[in-house]
Amino acid sequence: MIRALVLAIVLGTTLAAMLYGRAQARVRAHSLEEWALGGRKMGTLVFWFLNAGEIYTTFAVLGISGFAWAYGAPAYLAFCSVSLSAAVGYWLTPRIHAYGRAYGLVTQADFFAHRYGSRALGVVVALAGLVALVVYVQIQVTALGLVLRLAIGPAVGATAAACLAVAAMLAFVFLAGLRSAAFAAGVKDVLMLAVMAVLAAGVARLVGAQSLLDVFRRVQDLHPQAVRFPGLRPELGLDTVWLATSAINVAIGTYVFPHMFQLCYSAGGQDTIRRNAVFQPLYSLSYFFIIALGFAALLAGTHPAGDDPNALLLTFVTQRCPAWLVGLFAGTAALLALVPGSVLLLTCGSIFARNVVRPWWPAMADARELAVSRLSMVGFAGAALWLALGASQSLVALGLSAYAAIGMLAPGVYLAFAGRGVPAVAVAAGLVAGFAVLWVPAVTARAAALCVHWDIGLVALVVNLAVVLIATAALRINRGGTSRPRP
Amino acid sequence: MPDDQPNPPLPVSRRADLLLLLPFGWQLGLAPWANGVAWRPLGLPFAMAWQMAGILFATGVLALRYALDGRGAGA
Repeated sequence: MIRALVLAIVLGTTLAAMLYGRAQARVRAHSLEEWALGGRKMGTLVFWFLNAGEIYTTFAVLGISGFAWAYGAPAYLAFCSVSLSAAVGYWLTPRIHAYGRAYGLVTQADFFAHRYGSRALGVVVALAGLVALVVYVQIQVTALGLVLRLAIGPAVGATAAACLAVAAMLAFVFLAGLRSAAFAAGVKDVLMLAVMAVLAAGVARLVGAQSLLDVFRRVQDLHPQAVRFPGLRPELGLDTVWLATSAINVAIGTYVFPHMFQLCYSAGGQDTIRRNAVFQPLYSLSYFFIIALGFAALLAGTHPAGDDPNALLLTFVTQRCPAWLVGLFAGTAALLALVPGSVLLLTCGSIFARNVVRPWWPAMADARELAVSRLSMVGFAGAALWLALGASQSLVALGLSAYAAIGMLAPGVYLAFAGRGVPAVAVAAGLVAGFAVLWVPAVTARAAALCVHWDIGLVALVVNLAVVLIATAALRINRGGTSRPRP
Repeated sequence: MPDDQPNPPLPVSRRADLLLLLPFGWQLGLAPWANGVAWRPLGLPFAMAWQMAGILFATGVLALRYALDGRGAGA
């Protein structure tokens, strides 16, 4: 029953997405622009689903319910992240879109190379982006394996689950590109909202509450420290200072990630991208159900294996819900991993063809570039699979820090639009300073001691920005009042 | 060299962009205050209800900012 439902949801969506993508494209994609950006023609609704598809991933959903269960109020961060990202996005994303359209850009690395007039900077940004994105795909593959094994049981091997996941991700985007992913994202978001509402309504009874609101009443009476900051684990320092700094870091960073940046190019127009910013936050109200489920598990005294917060929601659902609901939930959770994974792979393919191969082969034809993207995507999927199945933990940890470090590109993005005359060298110096705060233990400890309870990512960003501005000013003085980017 | 020259296609920053800071004031600036309120609207913890109201507030602010842009700005 469970297995049949999961398979039906995943295969049905994959098939429908492929058909939709082909039908929408009408003619077969013949260029990277057509395939990876949907021909820059995405309408408001489709663009909305694409954004939602990348924001609400398995780890966002499973992680937030686990966070509510383990730490309490700090999970409210989920309510800030989308609305504040949209407020920043309202200013930033139309600029990315307009710049990309004016100069025919496809990737984020294209932007850095063009704006700063430095092909080398473009290659560096491309390589850093590829490492980070592959790790992000691997996270989705691992999450999917967790879903399938908890829902279906050990009958599905970890290897089989991971292979199936990667094959489905490729199937979504291999032929029809971004349009198929957009369709699957729509199915995923509608399903998730429905499943969460059903789950949350049913779960209240299971934990002895009258209604969903009663779950919150009981949590406040039985665990009064859970519902306000700093939550259930005060020693971790997850207070309102942590909330503010983390939320600002998320808001600044959301559209700096390579796949989100690239998504901005795909919007049909300025109006589409602005309207999306207005309507995107509303969907994050659905975190209400996810936090409710985390609190319900707290009332029920659920304990996932090894007290892993990421496994909380799955454990809770499989222990307490009927088989059909478990199947529906697991199928939806699988889509939560597949949709973002497919867009991430598509981004990898386009970065590889545009920013790694093309600099050495400038005469490459459009059709050839598209073929290189598709084939390299299979390679990146393989790399993610290898990371998920066989790689050592230290390698995964290294990749994770690379992912966190992508946010360090933010000053290079914002200053490109806010001010003129920031040289590539200053951006690079800022990057190095930011990485030092993140990665050099002595510097990290010093920064954490100075900025108590701050999100360390934001501290690194502030240092990064300060260094960029100082370096720019210094270079300007040095050159007698004018500054030009290095060729 | 694309730099050091105004880029004609880019939107220009306006004073109305400052409106976009208001959601930060509601959801982050007032979070310490909301954290101390004991009232339970609809039985929900106030700090959580405050954040959910903040999402509606942010949507309203963004809609206002959009309206100030005029319809069909750009294509």
